[in-house]
Amino acid sequence: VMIMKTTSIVGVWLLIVVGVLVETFFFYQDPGGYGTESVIGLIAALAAVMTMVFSMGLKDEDRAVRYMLLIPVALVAVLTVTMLFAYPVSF
Amino acid sequence: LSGWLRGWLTTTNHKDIGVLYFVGSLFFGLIGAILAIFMRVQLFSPNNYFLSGAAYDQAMTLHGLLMILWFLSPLGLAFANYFVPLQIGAKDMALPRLNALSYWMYVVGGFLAIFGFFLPGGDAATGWTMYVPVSGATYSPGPGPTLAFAGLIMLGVSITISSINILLTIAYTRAPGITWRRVPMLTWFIAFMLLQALFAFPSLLAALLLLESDRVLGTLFFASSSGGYVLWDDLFWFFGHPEVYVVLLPAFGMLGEILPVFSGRPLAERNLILVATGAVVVPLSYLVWEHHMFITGISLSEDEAFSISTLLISLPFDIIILSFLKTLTRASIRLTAPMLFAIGSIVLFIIGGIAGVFLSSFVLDVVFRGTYFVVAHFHYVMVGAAIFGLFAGLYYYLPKLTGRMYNEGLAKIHFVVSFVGFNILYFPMFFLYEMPRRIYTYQAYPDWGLLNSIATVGAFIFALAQILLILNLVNTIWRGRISVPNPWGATGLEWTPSIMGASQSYEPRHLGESHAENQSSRPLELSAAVGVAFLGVALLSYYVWGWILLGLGFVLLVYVGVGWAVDNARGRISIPDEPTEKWPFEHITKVRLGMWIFIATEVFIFGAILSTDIYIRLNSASWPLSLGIHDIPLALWSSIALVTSGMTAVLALESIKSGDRKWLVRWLVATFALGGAFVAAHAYEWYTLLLVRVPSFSWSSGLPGGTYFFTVGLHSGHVLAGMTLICYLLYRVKKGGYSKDDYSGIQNFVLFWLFVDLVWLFIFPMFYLS
Repeated sequence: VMIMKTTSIVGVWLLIVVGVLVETFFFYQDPGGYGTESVIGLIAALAAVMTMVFSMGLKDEDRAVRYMLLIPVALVAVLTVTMLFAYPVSF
Repeated sequence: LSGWLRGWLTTTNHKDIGVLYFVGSLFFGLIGAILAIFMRVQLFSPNNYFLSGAAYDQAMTLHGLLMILWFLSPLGLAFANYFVPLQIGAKDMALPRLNALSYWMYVVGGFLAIFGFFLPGGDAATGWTMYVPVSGATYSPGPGPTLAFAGLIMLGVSITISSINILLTIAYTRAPGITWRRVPMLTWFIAFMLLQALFAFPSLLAALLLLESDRVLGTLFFASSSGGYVLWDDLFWFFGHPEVYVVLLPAFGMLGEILPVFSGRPLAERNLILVATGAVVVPLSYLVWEHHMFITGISLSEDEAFSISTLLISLPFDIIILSFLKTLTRASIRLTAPMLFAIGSIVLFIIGGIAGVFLSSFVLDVVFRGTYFVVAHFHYVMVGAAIFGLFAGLYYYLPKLTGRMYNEGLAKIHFVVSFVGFNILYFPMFFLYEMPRRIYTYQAYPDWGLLNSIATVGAFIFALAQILLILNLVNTIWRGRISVPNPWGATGLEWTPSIMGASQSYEPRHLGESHAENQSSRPLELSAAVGVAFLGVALLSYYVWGWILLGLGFVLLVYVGVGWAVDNARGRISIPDEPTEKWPFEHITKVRLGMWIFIATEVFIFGAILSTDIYIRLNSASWPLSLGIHDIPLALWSSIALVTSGMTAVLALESIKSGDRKWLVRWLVATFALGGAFVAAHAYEWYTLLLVRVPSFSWSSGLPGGTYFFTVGLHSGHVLAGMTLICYLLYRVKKGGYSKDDYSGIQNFVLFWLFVDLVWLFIFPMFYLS
């Protein structure tokens, strides 16, 4: 069991490290490109979800705890979208 | 110190803390009221110069801040501290020492805010909304405003800690049999209030950190057109509107307790009230904030969306009020003082609520927003409904709090004079809908002088009434007749005769409570240390001894931190776990649940700051590419070091889970070393960036530098905090702490550390790969 756990911990770490390396690689291919930044953002979000779910152990928590963590994420999303669309003319 | 004073300064008992909150909130409320009287005297007649413009602005600002944040919100917390554990059969708060820390942070923060009056240039003169650019260093120079905002940061931290603690208490420490269906109304409404405070105050904290950064470090978050007033408005009102319900809901919870007792009928539609509040008011309160910004020129589609959401949020309040009224119909009403105040609260809320519906229309709001109509509206809701409801609670619970009966006749006179005075004070303001608010004097326009004179007379009557309250309180404590344990015939658990109040003369304090000896001076010391450090921060731009105070505060912080850790290692403060109702959190420990809630608030703080960065960047005409500024390979390696430290932290946890203390230490040391490498890499990068490679790129050079240094600096501060925690964990391990069956400290540290890792996963691409 310990070996399996260690393998999964190292596996998640490896995926995140690869993600960071891939982000950097993409950046050097097309620095500042809109598409590149979107992909990098997507990889970062996936890495964050993996950290939360596997490393922080959210997958093993009660459903109530899992949903609780969605609240601030949803609120930040609402705040961000509202701020950005308050003045659509300026973009 | 005498034993009596030492007892109050070091207590961690929830009843004592509740009493302290009562004293603290009434003290700050008194100062806020005196400032209000100054304002009303100034506005008594046209062209009056009793106060200068600057003095009036400072009085108005501190009046608003003290009344809303240091009086009304903490008064709800006073009831929460004292009565929530009693109502749910808990021994104390879930985390008693953090509860004391919340209180002392609140008190020290309040004194910092007031102390600004005595500094050169005076206190903040920005209004309680602290709108930028007025609250920036250009238009509000001097240490006073910086200190007041620092006091607010302490208050924000205090209320966030309180929210976590009390929610944890309600969720986790209910006595067997106290299922959610049996939780009393006051406790339910306190929970609703705290669910709002939990994410509202982090928004205020994020905004204040950015504002203080602008003021002290010279960043430009709010001083530029790319950030500016709209950014502040969004962050502030995302907190500001839920704060209205933070103030109001404890009062409604109190009505839910009082109305059934004095009407002889069960509360009508109890479940409907709970659903309306929990499922509609709480979530919707976060979705209405931009109705405070209709006149800032936000897009029409957002005007419409927030107008609709604001109208919608009035519906659950209709349900609540109609249910309260239904409880009163065909009832055998006993018109005691608590009942009179409860009915007064309902009446005033209806008036204020109807006025609020006008303001939900963005067309009418353009007319009313900057006028005394709004002043009348929010005072009817926040002062009228909230204060009358909380005063109802104060009289209702006074026999429990003191063991003595108050003077009923004097209390009824207090109600009548308060109600009459309140309406004479605020009702004329509805007719002043053409008079701008936030002006310290005015011309002799028709009716303005007369209506203002009437309002000032009302203010004196209302203030006089509160002297009656103080007299009654003093008289009750010193000379009131001994009360029977349950004078109202209430059925709540808190009225059980065996559950005694904190100060009941016929019962030694905390007799029979297992944690009576749990006292700690650390919360007060820590709050004082933070206060000294913040005083230093406020002064350092003006006086060299500001640096000395900052250094002293830091030394004190280290001293208290070490003391706190030693106390923990010795198990000085502990409340034994007992069987409690925990659904839906049966499979998680109390402290771990608390940690998750804390992380949820941190998610919001970092989320709001990253949103700010995105907003500013998208709003800027140009933004430099990171390639020409940052050392990207160095940042990449430091990122991998931090990510790897997350893995070693998890391995440390797995080691102790299997009982391997040797590998626990090794992995913790590895985590510390990797965290240290990360911080060292950033220190090196900042050094070369500022002094060698790009000297023009600093935090005060523009928005790219400001957003980078602030965000990365805040994150590095979290890494350093995590490294400090590792030192503490290693100390505990050395003292024999942690085992296969006791590893919650390690588990919680790992949660925190991984969260800090997670935040970096966003910061790295945002600042280095774009």
